Amino acid sequence: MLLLAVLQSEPGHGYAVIQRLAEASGGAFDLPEGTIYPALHRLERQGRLASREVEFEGRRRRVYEITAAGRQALVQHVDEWRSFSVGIGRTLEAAG
Amino acid sequence: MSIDPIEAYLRKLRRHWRARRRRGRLAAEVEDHLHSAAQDLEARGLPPDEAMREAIARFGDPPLDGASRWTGGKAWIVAAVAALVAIAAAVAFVSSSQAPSTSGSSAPQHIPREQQEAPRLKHLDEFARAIATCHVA
Repeated sequence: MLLLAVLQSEPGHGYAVIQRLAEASGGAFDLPEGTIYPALHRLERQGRLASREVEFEGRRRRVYEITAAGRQALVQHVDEWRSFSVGIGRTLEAAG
Repeated sequence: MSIDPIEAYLRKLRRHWRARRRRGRLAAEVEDHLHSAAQDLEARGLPPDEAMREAIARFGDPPLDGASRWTGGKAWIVAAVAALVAIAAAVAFVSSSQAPSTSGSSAPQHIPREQQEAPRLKHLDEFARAIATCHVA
């Protein structure tokens, strides 16, 4: 969900995705950076991301872009997450 | 004569991925990532060698069993741990909020409810973020 979210406005390579995640979350995510690639590959296999290879400073760089299916999935995930989050908040308020 | 830390790391990866079809693609991604990160760290003042080592440390352990099993096999463990933490935290919140109300009225009752809630909601927010990492994909 978060990977799709940070790729929705513009395409990016893995390292750029990590930087956007760190920036957007205020440093809340401290995962080993390499774990992002299996996740990106899975999203691509699911048709939610598409990728292409470009050349950058003599290196091969794979750039990921969100697909229409990815945007649809993101909307659904965000809805689910919001209702989950609201549910927890309400439960805690009622219990407190 | 000696190879730099990024090249040493990449060689290690390639050895483990020798039989894998996707290794070329993933190896290229790892290489681009490590060099980008090292360049960033250098730009922030780290000496080149240290920048490379730090880039590798942030990247984490190489996927020795292949890309698909890198996190795939562990994802459910992460999700299960996050769920347990969430349940434990919820139980802790509930019991901590009930304890003072049963222990008499000498407690600082005048503190507005909003102020009492603030730290708890902050923690909730934090563990919500932790759970969100399980939704990364």
